[in-house]
Amino acid sequence: MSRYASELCVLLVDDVYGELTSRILQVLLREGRLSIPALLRHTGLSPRLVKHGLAVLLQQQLVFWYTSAGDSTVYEANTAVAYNLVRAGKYVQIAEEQLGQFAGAVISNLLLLGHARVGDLVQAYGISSKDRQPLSNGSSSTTEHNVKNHVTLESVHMTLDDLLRVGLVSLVNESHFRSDADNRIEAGKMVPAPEYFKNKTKRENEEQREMAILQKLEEWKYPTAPKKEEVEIVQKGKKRRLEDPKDSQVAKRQRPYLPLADKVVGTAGTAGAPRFGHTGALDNDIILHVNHDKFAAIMRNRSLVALVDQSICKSTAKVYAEVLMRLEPKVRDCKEELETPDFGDGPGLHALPQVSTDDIVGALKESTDLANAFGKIDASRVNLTQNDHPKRRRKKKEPDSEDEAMRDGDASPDEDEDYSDSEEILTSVSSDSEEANGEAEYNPNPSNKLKNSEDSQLNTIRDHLLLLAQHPYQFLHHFPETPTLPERWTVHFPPLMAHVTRHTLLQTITSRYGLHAARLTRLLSEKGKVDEKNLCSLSLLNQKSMRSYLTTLHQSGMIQLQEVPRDNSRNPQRTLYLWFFDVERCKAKMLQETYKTMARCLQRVRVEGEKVKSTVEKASRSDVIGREEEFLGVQEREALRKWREVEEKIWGEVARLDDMVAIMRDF
Amino acid sequence: MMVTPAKEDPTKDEDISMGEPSGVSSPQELRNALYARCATFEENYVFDQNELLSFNILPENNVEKLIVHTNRLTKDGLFKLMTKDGKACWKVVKRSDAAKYKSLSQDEALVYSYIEAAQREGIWSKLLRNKTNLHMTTMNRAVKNLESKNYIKSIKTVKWPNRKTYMLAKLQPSEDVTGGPFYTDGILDEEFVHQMSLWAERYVIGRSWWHPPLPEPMKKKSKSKLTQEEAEELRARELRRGHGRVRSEIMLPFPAGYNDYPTLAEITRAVNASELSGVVMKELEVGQLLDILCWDGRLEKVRNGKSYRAVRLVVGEEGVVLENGLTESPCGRCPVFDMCEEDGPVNARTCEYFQDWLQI
Repeated sequence: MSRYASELCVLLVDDVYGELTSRILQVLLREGRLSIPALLRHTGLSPRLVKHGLAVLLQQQLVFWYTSAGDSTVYEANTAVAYNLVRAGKYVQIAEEQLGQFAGAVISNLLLLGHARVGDLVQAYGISSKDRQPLSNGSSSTTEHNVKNHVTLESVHMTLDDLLRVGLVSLVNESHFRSDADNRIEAGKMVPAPEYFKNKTKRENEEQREMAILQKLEEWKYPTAPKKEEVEIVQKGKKRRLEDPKDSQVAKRQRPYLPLADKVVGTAGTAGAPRFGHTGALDNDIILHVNHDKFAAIMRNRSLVALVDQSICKSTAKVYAEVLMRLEPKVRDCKEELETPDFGDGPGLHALPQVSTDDIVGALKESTDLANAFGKIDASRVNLTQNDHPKRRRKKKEPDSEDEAMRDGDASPDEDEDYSDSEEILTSVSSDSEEANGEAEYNPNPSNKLKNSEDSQLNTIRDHLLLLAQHPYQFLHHFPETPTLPERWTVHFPPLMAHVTRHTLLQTITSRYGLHAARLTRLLSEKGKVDEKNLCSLSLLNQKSMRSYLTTLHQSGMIQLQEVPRDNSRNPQRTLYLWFFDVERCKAKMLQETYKTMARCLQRVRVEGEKVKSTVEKASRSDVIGREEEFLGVQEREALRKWREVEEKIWGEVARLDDMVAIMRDF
Repeated sequence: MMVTPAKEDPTKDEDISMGEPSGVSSPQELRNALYARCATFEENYVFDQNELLSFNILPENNVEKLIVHTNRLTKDGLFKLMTKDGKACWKVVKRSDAAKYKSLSQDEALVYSYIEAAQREGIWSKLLRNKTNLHMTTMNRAVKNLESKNYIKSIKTVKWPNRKTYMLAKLQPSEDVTGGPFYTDGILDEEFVHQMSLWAERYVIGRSWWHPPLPEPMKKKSKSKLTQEEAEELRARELRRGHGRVRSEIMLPFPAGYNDYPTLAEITRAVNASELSGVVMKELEVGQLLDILCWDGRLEKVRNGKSYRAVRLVVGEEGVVLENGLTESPCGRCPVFDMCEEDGPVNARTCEYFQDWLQI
């Protein structure tokens, strides 16, 4: 965790949960994991305060804790959750969009509570209807969706159920309170020793054990798939599951450090009695928290749609949004695919979630503007005359290529591969899609079937989809129709996101350092390591200006320089200087800058706040609220208005910066 | 043996007609006859000993005599001694060139010969010194003299602009040396590159996106039967009218099967047809232009890199400015961002850039 990121986390926690918690978190971030005595020493706070602060932090899952056998418990900052505080506003918005306003309110409550039992949540619900939101994010005013008191128990349960099903909310597991390394150790303890597995060789045993550990970790990470969970809840009840030996341990553990939860449990006991048998009602003892991973996946979809809107057109973006929405239930986590090896070849791609053309068409039936999104008549005329030869060539190719498609279960390679000599990982994919598109051009057979409007709608949508598949970024991957399966589409995220990241980095470089700097950067990223002379002749820039661009880029850490001495003397004159662009390094650098910028924004908003502190305090006095006109002078009101503007602007900026972080880090 | 019989035969005829080979003549005359005979061959033709003997010009057609004569000719600068597969052979030097040699001192002649050998590529002064093995001052003097006599000239090479390079005054530097159409006097002509790339970009934009029709009405009625030529012609006319388009937000993509994204060959043809450049541009050079446009993020390669398409929205110069969270915030453009620390000389509290930004 870098300095700026921890600075940012501390600021965020301070902003939301106050100074005590942020001070403890700061110490934890600075010193690493600490036990309570050490924490006391470093913070200089009284034990009571530290425990109180830790309780809040634990409640919000902002710290990990771990007790190894015979040792005292140690605490560690959970920076991922701390950072995600900045996204609270987005979470609420997403939940509202997906499941309605009420879901947004529930998410907002859950965010406020950190993790909570269903019973407590229901209880807390009454409290929170007085419009309290965890983050005073200027841009989202909560007064509008002030939830009235007529909220029923059922509606809360229904909404929670929906949220669980969609995955925006997930079950809490003891593993969520441990860092990855600790989880790994724990999983290691639970899985039997290698000797237990009866394989021939030691290595096989170890491999099998490794698999078992990974499986265990996976189980912990995603406690139970929502669908299965529902069934289970109805059938045997969550309570019993929680009382399995391993789970009861966590339940006991959690309690001492969760005074807040305990208190609420006490009061909520009667109100939220378990309601089995009633559909949609959840057991009050289920513990829930916001599922950050799922939100990230949804945010990724949004940013992709925005990119398509930018680079193709609005209607295509609409179609793409539909595809992504259809695929989204199958995406738990943005990093999921990265972990799964063996992609890039046919079978791997086939394992990805897919969606068929018909589904999309069905969903987009009534949209009319899709057809108007393409260039028409004169284009197609040129197209026809030009298309003649390639088409005929493809036609001949078609039969056997389809055969192959069936055999390998993927679109076949064709002569196009000769051209795809680019070193991109995508080569095979891109040639596939090229082929696929070639075939697709054909499928609309010129028979009279095409006449009716439904088919023309289908073709329009297919055109949009193909356009996406054809784009150099490979927004979609196309599986052509086979005798057994309809035409399907999928998104292969890792390479696509690599493109998007690169796109973002270069966009930043362009607007910061100019077009020519971006030219040099792209050149380097395409050619690898290049010396100055070649760079000069390739970029068609004169040496002087090129050098100044290179220096700027190098100074800001966007590109790197390697020195290769030609002999042992290491004489500068006998040294080759090779420039290169390393996406990872550039990304890391820019990520740090973004964190820092966010931190500065938050600091500034505080400074601005201090300026109008007295006025704000006056305005928030209970006797003043609602009667501002009466109590506040013109100047004060003006100051308040300005302050609100500033706050809104800065928080809006922070949200946009967070979009960048998401692209560079999470997606 | 390089000489073909076909070549030999006519020369023999000439021999007989031209002049009394068997008559007694002075060595000078013999040499002249030999020289004249050889000069009838094409330039740079290399003679070996047998060929020279086969001319039957020398009275006692034996090797020793021949060597004497050729040595003399070489000394006069009329023949150039060369070796091939370890055997001596000769090349004819024009009399005018030989005269040049004659007027030169030994050093100068040496220098001149190397510069001459470098032909259109030119020779770097340092390399020249190494080859001639002359002292710096001697060589410099020789070079200076040659330059003042207008025998050689100094040129600029694109690859090593700082190296002093010489070549014969009468020759034009090769493209390797000048760097092709993008360079003038060895210096990159940035304005030319810029204008050409703008033109190429607009051409590609015009062909890779659908634009709402221009005010001028186009006659679309005859759309049914168009031959390839007619279509080409139509497009050419269309392009002449506006030579491509500017990017705009209202342009729409072509359907997925669109096959008419321009290829390198087509763009090259269009660029040359535009006659913007004084010289005809080769595909390689236009490819270079398109490459930089791709690196600028203004074009992208489609159809497996065979064709080009314009990127819809771009950052920079004209058109839309795309910003992201980082670049639009004051910190993203802050020149002292690296120094910015809490309680440091630069900090968020006193930041002027924030002040300006919040005032907007």
